[in-house]
Amino acid sequence: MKALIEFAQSKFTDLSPSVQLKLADQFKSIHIRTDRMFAVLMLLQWVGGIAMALIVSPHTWIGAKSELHPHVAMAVFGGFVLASMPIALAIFHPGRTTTRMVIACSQVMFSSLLIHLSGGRIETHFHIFGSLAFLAAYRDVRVLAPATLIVAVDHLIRGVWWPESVFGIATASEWRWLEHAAWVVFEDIFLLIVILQSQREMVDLAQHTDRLEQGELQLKRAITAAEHANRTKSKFLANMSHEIRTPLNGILGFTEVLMRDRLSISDDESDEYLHTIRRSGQHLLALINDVLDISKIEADQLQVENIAYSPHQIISETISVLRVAATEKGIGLDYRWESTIPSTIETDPYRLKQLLLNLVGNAIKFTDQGSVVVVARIESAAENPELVVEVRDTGIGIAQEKLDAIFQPFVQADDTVTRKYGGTGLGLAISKRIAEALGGSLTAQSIVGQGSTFIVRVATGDLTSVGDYAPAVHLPGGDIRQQITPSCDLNGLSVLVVDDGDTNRKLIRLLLERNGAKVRQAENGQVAIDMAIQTSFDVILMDMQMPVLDGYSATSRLRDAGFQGPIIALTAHAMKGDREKCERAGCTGYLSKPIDADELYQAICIAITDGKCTAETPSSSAAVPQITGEPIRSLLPTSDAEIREIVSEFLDTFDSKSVAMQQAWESGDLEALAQLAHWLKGAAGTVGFGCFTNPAAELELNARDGEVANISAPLQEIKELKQRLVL
Amino acid sequence: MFHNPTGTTWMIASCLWGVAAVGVWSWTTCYEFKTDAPSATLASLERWPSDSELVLAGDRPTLVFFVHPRCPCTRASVRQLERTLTGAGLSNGAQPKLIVVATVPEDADRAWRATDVITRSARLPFAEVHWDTSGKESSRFGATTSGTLMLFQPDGALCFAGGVTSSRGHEGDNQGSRNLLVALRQEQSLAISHQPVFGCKLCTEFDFATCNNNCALMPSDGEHSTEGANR
Repeated sequence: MKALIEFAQSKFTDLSPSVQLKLADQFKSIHIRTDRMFAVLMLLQWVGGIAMALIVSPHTWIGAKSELHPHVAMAVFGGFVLASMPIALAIFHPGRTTTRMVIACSQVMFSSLLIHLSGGRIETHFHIFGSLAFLAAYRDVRVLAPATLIVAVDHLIRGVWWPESVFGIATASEWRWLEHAAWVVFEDIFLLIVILQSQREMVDLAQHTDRLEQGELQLKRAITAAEHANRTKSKFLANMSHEIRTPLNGILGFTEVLMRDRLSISDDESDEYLHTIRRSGQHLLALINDVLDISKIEADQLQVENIAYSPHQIISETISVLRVAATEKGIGLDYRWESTIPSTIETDPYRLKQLLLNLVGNAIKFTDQGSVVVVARIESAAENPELVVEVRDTGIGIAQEKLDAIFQPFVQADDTVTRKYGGTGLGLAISKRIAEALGGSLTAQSIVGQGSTFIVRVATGDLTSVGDYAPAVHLPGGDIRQQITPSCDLNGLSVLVVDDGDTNRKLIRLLLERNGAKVRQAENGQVAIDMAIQTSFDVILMDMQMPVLDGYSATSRLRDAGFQGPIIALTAHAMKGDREKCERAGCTGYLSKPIDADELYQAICIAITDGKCTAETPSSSAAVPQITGEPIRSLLPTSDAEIREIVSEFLDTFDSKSVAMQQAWESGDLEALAQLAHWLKGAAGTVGFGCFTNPAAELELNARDGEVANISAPLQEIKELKQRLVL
Repeated sequence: MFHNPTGTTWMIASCLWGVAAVGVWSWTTCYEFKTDAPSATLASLERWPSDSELVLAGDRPTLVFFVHPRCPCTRASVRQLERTLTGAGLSNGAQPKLIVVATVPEDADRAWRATDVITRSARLPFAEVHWDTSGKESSRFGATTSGTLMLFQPDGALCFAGGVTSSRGHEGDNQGSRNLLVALRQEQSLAISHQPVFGCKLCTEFDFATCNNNCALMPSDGEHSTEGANR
């Protein structure tokens, strides 16, 4: 009972607002409905009272003369008084507390009237108990109070002045009215329990309904979001299609020109075409990297490293890379520091540079007149110091209401932006995620027509023990790479190339020997260890996935054996975590397959000079998609006899491996198939057939995962591509 | 009045209605207990009127029940008397001779004589109905209100006078019926008990003042009925 009373007193305040609203609506509906039922009942009682008076006592007699009995007048007028107000309230003021209180009072007083009209018949007294039960239909315990009180007061008054009328004796105890009232309270207790139980059930139902509605709402939102995402992705694919086709057209078009008119074009023209092809390839690569980045970010797989790196170098390299683009557009591009420059900060230089390249590249893209200025400063007032980089442009600007949207994936400020300026709409989304991953933020301020400022904040780590960097005064605009990079000389460098792929080994050997290095080869980790024990190498290039002993184990054992020199990991995996895994094994550098000659030279150069130099090298050998049906040639300079031989050997090997691949597929040997695909993924790219990299990677993944249904497509693609290979 | 009244208006109207409802309750309740003062004759009556044409029983008490045949409130008196005489376990010796004196006007038709009050009264034990035209007998006893009962001992002494309902037309245990029962049982010596009577005015148009001395000697134009006397 105590719990019930507490429940009644709580007034449902511990419920959620939406549940309270539902309950309020439900109670309102119940109160109005019950008001109306009582209004009808009042009318019936009024008519019934009149009928009773007319039937039972139509006349009173004074001798032989009759008059209308006062009971009839009481039924008509008294009944009218009692019924009129409740009916009026039920019609014009339904659902209110006042209405049901008046109804409760009226109903009990009607009992009194009807009892009187019926001559005090005991049966009519049950009208009171019936009325109380009916009042419980309101599910409001308060309505029982006035009804009960009226009964008690009626009996109290009668007990004092007319005790016989209720107690049958003239000398009843003055407290006997309490006994009568107690019986009414007795019924009230049961009604109270029923009302509170009913209220509890209503609460349960409202909560259940609320949960269902919330679920339905969330489902609708999810459907809307999914539909929106679907539309956005469709739009993104359309943009991507455009973005991919543009550089592809450049690559294929100029390649076609070079193939067809090779003899008639000059060397300058040829160089220009090749540069265009290279730029297009790089653009395509950047595009694909963007897509991969956003995919990783969306899969929460964005990982950043935290190493000490010069912020000045990051910014100046960024400016250097994009200076050409700015110059081509005829706008200025410069940067400056507005604080002292720490020599290093703890961050991920690769990601920070990627972020700045995106922002500055965007700024250049959307600025037709004026300039783009990068302003950097260290804010160390807060608990954690931050590097703040502002990219200010005088471009077209962004409308205020679009400022939030531009950071969402696949969204650009305006569709017209896509049409006019291109882009996938991924750059800013990636940049924002990177800034957050680097412990900071990316925000934007803009005025349409006047320009935009993108503000990057990234954590720098503790700077208390970091010295300041003093940039050379004469540095123009900041291309420090061009200024400080010495040429990298591999002459006499002793290099051990460890790779189970014969083609890879040969090609790397060739590239290194061309630059003066002395190269020895090992086909697995165990052979490499044996050789390293006997011979001292300046650098070891270590493939990480090999038979007998893989690169991770080999590197660990070499380190355990006391090998101090640099070990550069070669891996066909492109995931971020691989780098850390290699470093944990003891590698000092990292190169992903297919091997880019530029990156190879740079990695070795950095390794042997302890990170103090970079190398400038010939063009890279980016993988380039091919036009369907066209012959596929190696991107390596096969005019070189040695390279031609390597490519030729690859093609021969590929023939046998291809047969083995088909046999493995037909026999269901997925492990063998995965190994062959892994070989193809690394070897083909290395010899300039990058078009095999993706299908081979897909094949390997599906074979390892046992996704049999998804194997035939990449296998078929590899077959088709292979048929088009020419030396 | 109901053109968009405010909550306060409804509250005031409800309060006024409450006053009116209390007025209704007071009206009905006061009417319920309203009685006429007993006549001077009844107040001073102590013995069987010598001029009465009714016959006093010699072997048992005589209960005289004055009724208005068409009085609705008297139904309750009849039922209550029925309960007293039949439901209280009176011995045969204690059962009184019951004379139902039904007062009717001179021009009373069947509607006056065939009423449920008369029918039910006539069924009471040892009952006989005496049609009291113009209320001559009633006037002799001083009865003015329907439902009045008078109990006389065989020696003519009055030991009870009044009604057996607690209020107008209201059945139920009450002091009047209890006193009547005590008097019937002769369990204790009682002074004459006068109880309030709730009912219509009897047809007592007979005026003794204008009647000559022969009135009492004149044969009654009423008639005795033995209807129900033997139950």
